[in-house]
Parts: sequence; C-alpha cells; structure tokens
Amino acid sequence: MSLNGWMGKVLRVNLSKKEILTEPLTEELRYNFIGGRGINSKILYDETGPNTDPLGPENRLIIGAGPLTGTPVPTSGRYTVTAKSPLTGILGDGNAGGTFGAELKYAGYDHLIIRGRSEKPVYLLIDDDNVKLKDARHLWGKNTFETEIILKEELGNTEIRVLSIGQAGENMVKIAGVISDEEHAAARCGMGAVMGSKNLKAIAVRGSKTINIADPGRLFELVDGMYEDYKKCSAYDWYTKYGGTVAIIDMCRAGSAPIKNYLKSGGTDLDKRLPISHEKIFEKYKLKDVACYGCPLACDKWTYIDGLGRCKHPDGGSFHSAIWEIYDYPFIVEFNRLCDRYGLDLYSVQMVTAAAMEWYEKGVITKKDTDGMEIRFGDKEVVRSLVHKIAGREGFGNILAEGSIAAGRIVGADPDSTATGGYGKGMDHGPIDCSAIAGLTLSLSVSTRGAGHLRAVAPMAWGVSDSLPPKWQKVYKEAGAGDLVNKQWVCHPVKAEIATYFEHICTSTDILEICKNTTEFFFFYGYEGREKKDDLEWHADFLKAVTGFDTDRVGLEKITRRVLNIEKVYNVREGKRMEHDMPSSRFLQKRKGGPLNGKALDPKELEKLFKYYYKIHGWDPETSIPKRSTLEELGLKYAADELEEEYGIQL
Amino acid sequence: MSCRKIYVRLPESCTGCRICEMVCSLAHEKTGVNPAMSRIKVISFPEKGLIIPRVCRFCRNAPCISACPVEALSQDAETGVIRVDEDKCIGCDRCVEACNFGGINIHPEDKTAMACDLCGGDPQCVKYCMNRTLIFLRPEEYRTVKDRAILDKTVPSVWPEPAGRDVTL
Repeated sequence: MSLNGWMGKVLRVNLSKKEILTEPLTEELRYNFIGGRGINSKILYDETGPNTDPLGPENRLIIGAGPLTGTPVPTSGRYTVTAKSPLTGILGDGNAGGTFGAELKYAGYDHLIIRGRSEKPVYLLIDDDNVKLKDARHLWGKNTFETEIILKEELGNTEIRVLSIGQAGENMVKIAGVISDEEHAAARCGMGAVMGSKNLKAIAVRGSKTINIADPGRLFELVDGMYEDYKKCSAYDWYTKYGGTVAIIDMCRAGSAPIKNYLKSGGTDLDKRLPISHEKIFEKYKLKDVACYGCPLACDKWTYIDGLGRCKHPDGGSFHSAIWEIYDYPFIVEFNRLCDRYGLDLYSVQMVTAAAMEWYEKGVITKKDTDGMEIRFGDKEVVRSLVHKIAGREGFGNILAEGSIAAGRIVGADPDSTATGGYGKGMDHGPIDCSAIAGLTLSLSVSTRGAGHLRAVAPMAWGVSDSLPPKWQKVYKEAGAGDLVNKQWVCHPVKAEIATYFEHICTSTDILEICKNTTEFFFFYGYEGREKKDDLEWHADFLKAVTGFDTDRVGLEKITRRVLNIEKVYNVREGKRMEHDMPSSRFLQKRKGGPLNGKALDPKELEKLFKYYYKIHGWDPETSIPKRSTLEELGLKYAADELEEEYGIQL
Repeated sequence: MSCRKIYVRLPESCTGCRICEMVCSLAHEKTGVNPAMSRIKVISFPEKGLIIPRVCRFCRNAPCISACPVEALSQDAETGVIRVDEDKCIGCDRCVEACNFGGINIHPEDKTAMACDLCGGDPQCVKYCMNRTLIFLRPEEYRTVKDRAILDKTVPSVWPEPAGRDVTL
C-alpha cells in the first residue's frame, strides 16, 4: 500500500564504496518523529556519536523533507540538512526553502543519508529511481551559482533542482553552508564543510512522482480556511510587500540592532533614520516578490542593483549590517550575494568579521596578524576582502574560517570582552542584540543546535509588547507578573513557560517542514473578531488531512518533545551541560542607549530562569541532563539506557 | 458571446510559488499532487526578473487541433475548452509543438494530451492564486483591467536586459 504525504523511501549513499541503496522509511520513524528535522535528528543520534569526526567519512550528511513538503499546504516547501557540526561538535542543522525539498519528494524520497568520502569530487544525480554518482572535477572550484548553471546546461534541463557548495565548503570553512536554487541557504552549523569533506560538490534532483494525499477534500477545506485568514488579515499586504524586512521594524523598536559588534545599542527609530530603512529601500529600488515552493506569502524578494544585476534582496541583512556600522543597501546586497556564491553562512561571517574589527580596534591583533590589512569598523573594502579570504582560507581568513569563537581563542582575545559568539555551545547566533531581553536570551541559548533564533522564534518579538498574543498577555497577568511584558530584562519564570510553548511550535514547524513565517503571521497579526490560532492545532489538522496520521494538538506536542529530547541527549552525550548553554558576559552587559538604556540581565536571576526552563522540560535543573522518567515517558528508554550504561551518566 | 479565459494579469506579479500547478494536479488526479500532471506550467526567467504561468489560451482556430493527425482534439463551442479524446490520442506531441503558449502537454503516465478544462467553470489555479496574477474573465472584461499586461511573443523584462548571466563573484 502506498503511503500518503510521505514517499516512504530513504536514499542511502556511501561515497567511499560508491554504493547507492534505498530503504523504507519505517513506521517507527514516521509516527514518532514525523519527518524533516525530527527524523534527521533521530538518524544522526543513531548513526553518529562522540567518536565521530565531523569532517571524517563516518559523519552523516542527512537531508530531509517533511510529509507536507510538495503539497498545497501553504508555506510547506522547506527541508533540513543535518550532520554532526564541525563548528560546534554537537548536533548541527540548517533549514532552507526554495524548491529543492519538494523536488526530492517528487523524486520519491523523504530523506537522503550520505556517508563516506569520495576519492575524487563527485555530484549526486537523482532522476526518480535513477540515481548516479557523477564526476564533478570540472565543478570543483566553481561558486554555487556557476555550479547550478553548468549542471542545468549539462543535464539539458532548467527544471532540475540543484543543491551545492561553493569554494567555502570545498575548503571546509567551518561556517560554510549549502545553497540550493541559487539563493536559498541551509547555512548554519557548517553543513557546507561536511559536504566538502565528503568531496561531494552538488546534488541535482528531478522528480516526476505523485505525492498521495489522504483526504484531498479536507485538505482543500483547510487551505481555504487559511486563505480566508490571509485575505482578511490587514497585515497580509505589507507583510508580503516587505517580507523579512519587517523584522527590522520590530528589532529596531526593541533596540536590538547589533551596532558596532554590540558595543552600542540602537534607538527605537533606527529603522527610520538609517539609509537602510525598509521604506527607503522599497521606494528607491524595484523589488520583485518571489516565493518558495507552495508559499502564498512570497516574502522573498529579487532586487536590481546597477552593476550587479538581479540579486536576492537581503531582508534582515540590512539591519544586521549595523554590526560593522555600515549602512549601505547596494553593499549589503553585494555582501549577501558574495556569501551565497561562496556558500557561506551570512550570519556567522558577519559575526566573525565584526569580532575581528573589534580585536583590531582593541589591539588584540595588529597589521602583522591581518596580512597588512587595517581592519576597521565601517570599511566595506575590508569586509569584501575578508569574505574572499575566509572562503579561500587565505592568510588571516584561515583563522576567521574557524568561526568567531575558535578564532577568538586562536588570536588570544578575551572571550568575555570580545567573543561575539555569546551563546551556547560554540555557535554564534545571528547578529541581533538580545542583551537585557530575558526571554530571547533564554530561547536562543538553549537551542539544541547551538545559538539559534529559529528554535523558538516567536519570543523574539517580545521586545514589542503589542505583538505578544492575548493568550500570553493573560498568562502574564495571572502569574501576577503585571506589566512584565514591557520589562524585558526581568527574569520571571513565566518567560520560561512561554519560551517552551514557542519551542514546541517551532519544533513542530521544523518536523513538518513548513515555514515559521506562517506561525509568526498568525500569532502576531491576526484580525479583529478572530481568535489567534494555536499553531499545533492547525499543524495537526494539516498533518492528518495529508497523511491520514491521526493525531491532535496533544499528540503532536508529545512528538515535538521527543524530538527535542533526542537532540538534547545527543548533546549531553557530547558532554554539553548547563554551563554550555549560558550566555557570555557580552550579553549581560548594560545597554547603552536605546529603549532599554541602562538595563541589564541579572546573572543570578537568569540562572534561575534557565533552571526553571530545565524543570519544565523534565531535565535536571543543575546539569540540564534529561531525567530517566522524562525519556521513558517519551518512548526514549533506549536513550536513557545508553546514557547510563555506555556513558556512565547518572540520570 | 465570448467565453471566459484564464489571463495572466501582470507577468511580473507571479511569485513562482507554483501552488497553481499543485492544485491543478490535485483537482484532476483526485488523490495526489504531481506538478508534471498539471495543465498550467510556471516558467522562470530569473535573469529578466520574470516568472510566467503558461496555460491554454483557448484560441479560435486552435493550431493544436489542426496539428493533430488523428483528430483527437476538438473545441467546446460554448466554453472554448480543448477536449482530448483519450481513446484516439496517440501522444505524438504534434499539438505540443504547434502551441505557441505551452498550453497543451502530454500527461506523463497516460501519455495522452492534456489541456486546461477550466475545472468545469471554477478554475482552481485562479482560486488559489494569492496575489491575483491569474484572473478568469471574458476578453471584453479583461480589456478593462487597468494594470494588465499585453503579452506578445517576446518575453518582456522587468529589469534592463543582461548581457548573459554573470557568474563571477
């Protein structure tokens, strides 16, 4: 019997043995971990461990689409790339949109597991059941954009979908990502370096199979309801017009622009004052809306810059560039394109280059260390040149290619004063200043892939009180927290509860492989007369209509907890404890200027907040290690046994 | 009276989300989604900044009908829809070659021609086109649409024409 929603097949490739096999996607995996990030993480847990070298042949590169990917469920066209991260040494993943995930489903596969190392550069060609490893020596050294164009020409098909690495991935730069469809990046955690270590240049996929739908009538009904909501929602027009750029407004209002590597705090009107304000950008440049597969929101934009031609509009990028004190739209577009073509994680590059500027300013490094370059804030030429050096691992770039935390260690920078990779477990988060915002600091720090704002995205908007859903406004009140919503720096336990709530939503979004923008959309921009939707409820509705898997809000929440716990156990097995979650002192500093002027987080209170968060999860509040009872309740007895028996960790 | 057609209001407004392809295939195949079985196809010209949906234009004296060697195609007098007699169709591709608009294709499994049938009067692609790139109107109504685009054989460009695709960094 053929499945609905899931294609039911996993493609396994061993590059060392040149072996290609397919195996069924078991019911155990489907029903317990759903798909996408969930199944990816479970496979990584099963097949890698503390002895796995992230850049060795035994690491797995796992690419997974979700059961809803490639169906008309709005915003469902995403996929996750998972591997043990060379940047952090723990679980790593990157998530991207575009069309690659859907095409993988149409080719008949839910997940792709790649191990081994090819002797010579190869690329993987998937044309339905016809899967081949092909010579990629002529592609080695080419950027991602060129690779995609050459492959499409060679294969005589412009509709083929390509995922590839650029020079950065080839050189195993630890902040290299993978790029699909020219501009969609699964950027984080150094997934590009893992692909490069395997001598795998690209994956080209073309599919012509059908994704079966369990209950098409119900699916259309649900999609109709969602469309109705979109149309009624006043925010729809400006949300689709400005796309991710709207984040600039919220972030600036929260004073979270990472100005000069977090040394300054932004004022609330930053978005209006700067030449990078969204209004000015949209006035001056002709932008075109583009969508990922199956997305009616179309938040992606193409922009046109003289001398560069068509480029991707870097939505949040213009705001993040405050980290160098550079406010110049065409330059940011160029930087974005440079990172995409080299196959680099834009966020990490921004963080590490800004850190280098601070090191230089403070005299931690001098011209002798930087190949004679004066690395000053606000210098575009320096940024350009550093990107080239990082991608090629040339000179000083070879140090920066290790990521901001390791690079700081190498140059001997005081980690508390200059390491920008403030949050947990060795990964720098995106350039957003969340000092003095307790909820945001918590949810970024505890992320299972190392600092990441997409593991519990919604609390990000906490800086803006009116965007907190009424339901939680009520919880605040009932908790006796009063006007807490406007006191971001206060570490009230209810913030851990809200972080957990959004964590479930974000995990559910990732395992179904839908987009978090829909979640944000429904939560923050409802319309009058409509109860804001509970995400897990509509997630479960869609999952049931597409796959027939009978679950509800409660069932789905349990699954998201299972996914979180297996990821947590993975990191515990790698030796990560509570202290690795805690932020560095840069994020405990007092705000200088902006709406939160003079405010700071109290380290002791923050620790209490973390402990409360662990308690809610059924983890030991002192160490953050999951309790046996928690793991057993989620059907993860095997993980508890393993921790106790093989790693001698008392649960 | 003239019949209603699916028009592309403004080619630069298509975002390439391809929901039209998905709902078309689900509406016709009933149990599954497969864009290869869609009657509407989205073509992308990224260098020109354009993405264009292509669907049957319901031509008068339709070239696909005259190109068919086995008389498998006919036009519905009332709706203008091109009907395919699947028993007669030999899947020879002549109609596909004859069409200037990419409006008729061969079904990948049945190997017979397939063209838009307007879903019996309520085209699903139009219904789910979020930003109204696709509109369903009579020609005289269409002529009154203010921001419509006149599509001719050449593909217009949103931005200045590039001299090939620049692949440098």
